[in-house]
Amino acid sequence: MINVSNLTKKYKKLTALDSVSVKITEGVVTAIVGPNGSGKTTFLKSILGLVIPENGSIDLNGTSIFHNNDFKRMTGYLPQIHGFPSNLTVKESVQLLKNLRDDVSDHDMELYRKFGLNEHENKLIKQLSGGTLQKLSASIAFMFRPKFLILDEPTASLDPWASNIFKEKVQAVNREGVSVLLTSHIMSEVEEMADEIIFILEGKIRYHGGVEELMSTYETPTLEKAIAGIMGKELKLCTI
Amino acid sequence: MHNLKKIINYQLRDAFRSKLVIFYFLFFLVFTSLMFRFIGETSGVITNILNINVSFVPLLTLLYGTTFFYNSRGYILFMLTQPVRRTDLFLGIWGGVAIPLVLAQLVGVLLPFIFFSRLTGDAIVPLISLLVTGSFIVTVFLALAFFVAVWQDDKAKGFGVAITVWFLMALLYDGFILAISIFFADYPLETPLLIISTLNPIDLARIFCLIHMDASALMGYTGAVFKSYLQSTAGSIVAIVALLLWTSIPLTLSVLKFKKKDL
Repeated sequence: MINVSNLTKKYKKLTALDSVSVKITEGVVTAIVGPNGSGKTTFLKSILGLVIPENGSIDLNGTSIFHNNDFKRMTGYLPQIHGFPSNLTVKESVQLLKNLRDDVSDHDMELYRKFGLNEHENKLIKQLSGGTLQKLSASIAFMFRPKFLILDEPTASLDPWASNIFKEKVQAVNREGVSVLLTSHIMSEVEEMADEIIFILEGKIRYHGGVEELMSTYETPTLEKAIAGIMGKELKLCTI
Repeated sequence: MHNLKKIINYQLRDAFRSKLVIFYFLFFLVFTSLMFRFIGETSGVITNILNINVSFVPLLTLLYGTTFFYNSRGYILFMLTQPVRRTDLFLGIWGGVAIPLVLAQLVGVLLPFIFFSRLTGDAIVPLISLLVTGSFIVTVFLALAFFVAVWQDDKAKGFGVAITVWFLMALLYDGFILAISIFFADYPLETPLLIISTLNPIDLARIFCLIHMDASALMGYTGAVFKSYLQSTAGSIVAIVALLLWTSIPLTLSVLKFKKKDL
């Protein structure tokens, strides 16, 4: 279980996370939702160790995850924007990561093959389209058989066919016990994939619970309307 | 250290395919060859390459270094989610940029010397001092470029700072030294000027090179003082250590900042 306790992060005068405490259940798909600038990216980055909070702690089964390479070895990350050197080939980019994570020898290449990345292996990263880069990032997230998957807007650049394959893969690994943490602005996707939701607004968690539970609380057939309901209540706006 | 080597290895593959590194190599190759074609004399060729090393190279390295770091944000962010220490990643990226630039310059200059010049005993020492100081100019200004990019998140401001650093060191500093020598002309300035010169890597590289070319005669009494100091073994060691410090201090400060930086 990932235990986030009193996490506070400020950027100069702006408080991105305000004493956030939450327990992320293992083996479930948890979606982090909220409007732009609500603090969800900072929350994800804190878990990944990319931002250093002023206060609070994040630990996995009692061990802090800050600067913890063991946690990183257990984690697969799909960023919103790809991060490969432009003059490396696809094969070299994958090889670099395999060399860095030499603890894993049995790589999960299912998504890599399904996305047809073998055909692009000798192409330079700068020669790939945005969609192919996203497919590469997505397959790398699964490659080292992670126990935790962190997915930032995972299907944003994927075509419907690739998006479907990707979602099936997420569900398959989740059934095997992999915990998934994802952000998305597409509520239908969250509804389809997530078991739990963390709703963040102005750096605070306003809701943490089951997707079905949230929809029944707001008596709406769609998650989008339920989320709009919380936002309206929290921001004291009229609900749609 | 283990991961540092792996990162540098792949950064080198990336950099050797970079158009800028290829351009940089070809520039020195063509420029040095043309100098031999038009000037012929080895000391004249070295002086012209030295002029490039102390004017064009610092600016190019500063701008390339800052651009590279800013453009690598996605890569840096992704790599930090892998089991990699921040120090290894930072030094790996820096090394992966510095090594190809240094090699491109060394090979680009050295090849025409091998083909067009008779490398006699008189020419070897100036050539070595040119190559050594040229390499240091690259590493120093690349370290400064990364320092600027780590401390300044805003790309436009970062470029502004990088250009200001170049302007101060390549242009304004010489004006400052000239002003001192005019205002305090009645005082013995040799030692203070020697110290002030070591505080600027460009001046240090230039003087170190000129001294080893026996061009110090053109610099009057001050040149004689510089020559007696910098041509001695102790002076040469001090100059090399000063250039090493000019590389390692900004690099160390950058690593310290990078370790605590939000990405």
